[in-house]
Amino acid sequence: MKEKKFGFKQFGMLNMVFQFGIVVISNVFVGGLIGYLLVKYANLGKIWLVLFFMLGIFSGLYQGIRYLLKEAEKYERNNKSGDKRNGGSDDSCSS
Amino acid sequence: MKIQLTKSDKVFLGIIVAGYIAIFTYIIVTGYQFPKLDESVGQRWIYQLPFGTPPLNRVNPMTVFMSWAIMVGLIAFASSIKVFTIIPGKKQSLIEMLLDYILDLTKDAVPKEEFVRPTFNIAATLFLFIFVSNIISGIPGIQAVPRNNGVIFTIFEDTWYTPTSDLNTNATFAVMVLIISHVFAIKAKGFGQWVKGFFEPNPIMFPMNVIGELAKPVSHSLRLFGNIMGGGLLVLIISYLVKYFLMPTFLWGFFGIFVGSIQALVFTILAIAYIGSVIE
Repeated sequence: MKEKKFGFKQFGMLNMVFQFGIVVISNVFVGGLIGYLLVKYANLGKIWLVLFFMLGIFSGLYQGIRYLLKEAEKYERNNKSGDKRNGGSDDSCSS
Repeated sequence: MKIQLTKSDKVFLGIIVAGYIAIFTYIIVTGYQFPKLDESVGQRWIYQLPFGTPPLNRVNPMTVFMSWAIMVGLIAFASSIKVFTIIPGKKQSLIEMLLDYILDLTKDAVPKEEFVRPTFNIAATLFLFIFVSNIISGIPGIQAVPRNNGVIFTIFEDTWYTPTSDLNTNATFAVMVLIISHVFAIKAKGFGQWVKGFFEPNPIMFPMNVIGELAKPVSHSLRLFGNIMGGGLLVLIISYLVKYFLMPTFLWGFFGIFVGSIQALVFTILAIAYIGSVIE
């Protein structure tokens, strides 16, 4: 059996997980920041901070999942084009 | 496995070993005490301008000097390649190899032909600047350290000051990419379609789409800043722990050259991806 080598593609996959985390956290941060600024400078109630924080969390998860779906689509497209180049002999697409 | 060393290898290793022996002997004979870790680690030289309001009138002069120095260096390098030939020289090969890769990435990510060239120009400029900035954070040079209400300049004690370890530089680039991407989007799709894009897949998602767009420059800039600034601090702290014996060279190489070049590429790829995703 041939052993699979650890190549640059695996780094790309690690980056994908890392990027997902960053997207979620940055959205939560921006949501919280908008809420904080509204509370501080627009003299609104603290409920707005909570609301925008929640909005940030939802937005983070939404954007993160959208990013993952996009990456999955790209991965499948690459696999398909790899299949065509190898004359359909590559079985990596089935996984 | 048998290690084969040439004569020059042996001489090189011999000099390093002799250096270590000399340092050990010096420490033991003189009873040398290492100074405590400086409290100014991670502190920056901040200059307060005589005008403006407090948070906005503070500048880090080293960021300004080094940014200009890097820009002048890049322009000098570019102008030194006067004629591009069919059989390339060393400099031309280096530039062609780097920029060709970025051009391929841009062609893959940007769906509309007319935006490939402008996006490539922005991405390549960003890449070259950030790449050089990060690489010099792996080379010993001049640093400005605030001490006793003043500032002192150290030479070869630490690496060159790198502008990308200042969040202001990275945030500027990230905000610039965000603005450029939306200007391109308005040009490509028209104003109406661009506004409509914020209400997709349905109008309820509008606030989330806005927060998602605003979060892009945050993650974009903080990632580069964290890697470069964190790398610099780690090098100082670990070097202090091992008393500057072996680690700085390895750590400078790792954080400055390896992580630095990867982060420059990542920043560029993300810039291209952000522009490409808004245009399509």
